[in-house]
Amino acid sequence: MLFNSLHFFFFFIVVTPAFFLLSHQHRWKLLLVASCYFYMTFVPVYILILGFTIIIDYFAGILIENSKGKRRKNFLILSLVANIGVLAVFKYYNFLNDNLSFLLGNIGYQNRVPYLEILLPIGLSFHTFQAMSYTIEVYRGNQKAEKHFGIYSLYVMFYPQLVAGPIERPQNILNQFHTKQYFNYTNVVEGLKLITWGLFKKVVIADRLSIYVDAVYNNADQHSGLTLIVATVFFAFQIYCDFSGYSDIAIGCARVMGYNLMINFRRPYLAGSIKEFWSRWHISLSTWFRDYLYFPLGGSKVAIPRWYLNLFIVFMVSGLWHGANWTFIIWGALHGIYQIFSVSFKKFNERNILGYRPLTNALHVFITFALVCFAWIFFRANNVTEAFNICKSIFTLKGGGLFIGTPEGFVYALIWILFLLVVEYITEYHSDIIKVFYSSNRVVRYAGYTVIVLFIILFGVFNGGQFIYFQF
Amino acid sequence: MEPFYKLLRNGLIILVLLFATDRALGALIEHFFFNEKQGDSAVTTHGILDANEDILIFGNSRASHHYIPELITEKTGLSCYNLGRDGMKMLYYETLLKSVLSYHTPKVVILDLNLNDFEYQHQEEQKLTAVLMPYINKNKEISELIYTQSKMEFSLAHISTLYRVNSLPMSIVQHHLEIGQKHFNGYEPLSGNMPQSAKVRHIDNANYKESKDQLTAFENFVKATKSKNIKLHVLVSPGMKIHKHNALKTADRILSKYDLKCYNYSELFNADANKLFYDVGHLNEIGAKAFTDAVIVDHLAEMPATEIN
Repeated sequence: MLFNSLHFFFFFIVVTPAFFLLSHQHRWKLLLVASCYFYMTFVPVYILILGFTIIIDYFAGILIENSKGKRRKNFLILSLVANIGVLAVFKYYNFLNDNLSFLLGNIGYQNRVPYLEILLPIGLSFHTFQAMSYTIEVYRGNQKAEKHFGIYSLYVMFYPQLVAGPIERPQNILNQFHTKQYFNYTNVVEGLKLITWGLFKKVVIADRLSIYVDAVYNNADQHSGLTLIVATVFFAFQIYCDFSGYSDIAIGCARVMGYNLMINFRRPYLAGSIKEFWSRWHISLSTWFRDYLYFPLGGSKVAIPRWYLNLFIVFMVSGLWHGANWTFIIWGALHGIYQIFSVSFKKFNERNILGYRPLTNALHVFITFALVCFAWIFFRANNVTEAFNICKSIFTLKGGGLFIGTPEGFVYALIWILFLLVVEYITEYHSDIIKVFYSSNRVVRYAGYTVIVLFIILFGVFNGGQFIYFQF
Repeated sequence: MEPFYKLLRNGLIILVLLFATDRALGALIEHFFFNEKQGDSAVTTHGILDANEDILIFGNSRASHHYIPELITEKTGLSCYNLGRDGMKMLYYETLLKSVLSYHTPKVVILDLNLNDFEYQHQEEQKLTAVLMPYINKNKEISELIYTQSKMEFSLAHISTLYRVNSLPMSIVQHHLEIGQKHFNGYEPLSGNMPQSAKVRHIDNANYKESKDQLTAFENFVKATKSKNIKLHVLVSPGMKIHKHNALKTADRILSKYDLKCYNYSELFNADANKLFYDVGHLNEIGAKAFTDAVIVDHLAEMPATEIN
């Protein structure tokens, strides 16, 4: 069930009022059943995988809390092995097998390890990471083990963020399930606004851009360097609107019921450095890696070469988290290299090289965006060879005109990117304008809501398919 | 419960506002849409609402670029309109023909069969629904087709006027300002030609797979013309891309049931390919004139047809 489907609309308008009609003690049951139904609309049988990790982590949490010394650590390891094991089997097995075949083939051996004919469970990486953060936090003593099996299951399965995050921490969301939520007008309105804005980003911008991006990237060898640059920039906005749109809808759905999920995006393309980009992009994942991988590796409090290695490892793993493909690993490695350069030349980067601070800042934003776009080539390309060919076409400015596709589609794409940038710029630098909009009279406010909804109906692409991040 | 009533009241106000704006703005956009004089939609609108010509031509972009109605009228004395539309297939031709037949019976129908017209295409139905959505209240055939394809789309189109004209404002502005290609009775001329080195390509498309729906639509198309005693000519116009596996055999098999044949002109201009083609799939205006002349001589001037198959 996709957030941008009528199926979800009906689901939402049944579940939300039912939530408020029930007493607090029964709400978790409703949300759990609704979440199970939500997940089972994709591939029903995969709920068993979720059930497996939920049972393991639930008991692991209690056992960790009740144990001391080595036993405590052993239970944590058991939980981590179970979670990573599920990921390894369902997400990485065939990839590893492929690479093994390649290696053995090169030395004249045949790989006899069979391939698994399985589909990747939707959102596996998201709920696995959320489950792992629970046992790690219990182990670290930052979170009490959850004794209520139903509430713990809901922590992993809460439908708004089950398949594509934000990847929550137990300290934030788990405790909220124990707190009675009251019908709150402001929460409901703010939630609905977020849902509408997320839907706008998904169906009006992301799915419109995807038409052009798919047409170019699926026949990349036939397009000019200029076309590939435009398609890559379009993809940058497509993936941002697709994923942040999903996050907005998820946060909005939870907010309506009174639950606060963490912010996942903060206008990432206005970042002035790669480091800043990662503090604005997919925040729930980057902070997960920071807390559970980067810091345990020693973070920046080690010798410089080791610090750089830590940065590189974290981003390589982040790439691998996205998908079992070398394209994602290279994407992650590129960001790792960017980070190393970024911290190495920190002092140079802080200099006002153009003599006028706003201009220097704008240059930094442009360079950061260009670097991020370059990495997106590997993220979007169908394979590594194709990605390198695209890079070659771009850097040699391979001849040919600019592919437009349908002229109106191309113009829509440009208009919506510009619209998004204006909104993001105002929100970032002139938030007073947004405040005026919020506090102005009802006519202006209602006109604003109406225009956004009408834009969705009039300009939305309603057969755009699923969210990009569902595959992870 | 005060916050709940406040939400209900404000929600209702926004719903009323949305409904009223949707209707008003939708009616305005529809007005401009149905009064377009140029563009693909104008051609479809002509077919669905007011085609009254003696000869009607159906097909995709190859039809719209290959048959010159004015030339046909000049040589035969019969009025003619080219209803070809870019990117369409049999399901569209069938629906358009049924729409026309619901209010007008032409004397002759030419179907320009594309060699991949029967091929299965992912999301074909969605594409068709999107193209025909603005006409849902204008024609019973189209209303029924959209209902069959998707009950959800059918319901949404009746709830929201704007949904019916989804994504169309830009092309409406473009066509009213007459920016881009011009149509002449549906014919869209192409200027320019292929490079000297251009050669006909023979493609071995081993994965060719026919769609049952497209085949049924083809047979329904033939049946519909037969039932109204319309003279049907099924032609394959010239092209520089010749697929090994294509619609010809199947088309002939179906047509033979109705004592008809498919006339294959796909390799007619091989010798002068670079002069007469705009690209591998489409003739330029010189090629279109030469081909239209050939069609008139072979099929419309009551001269013995040259069966190329």
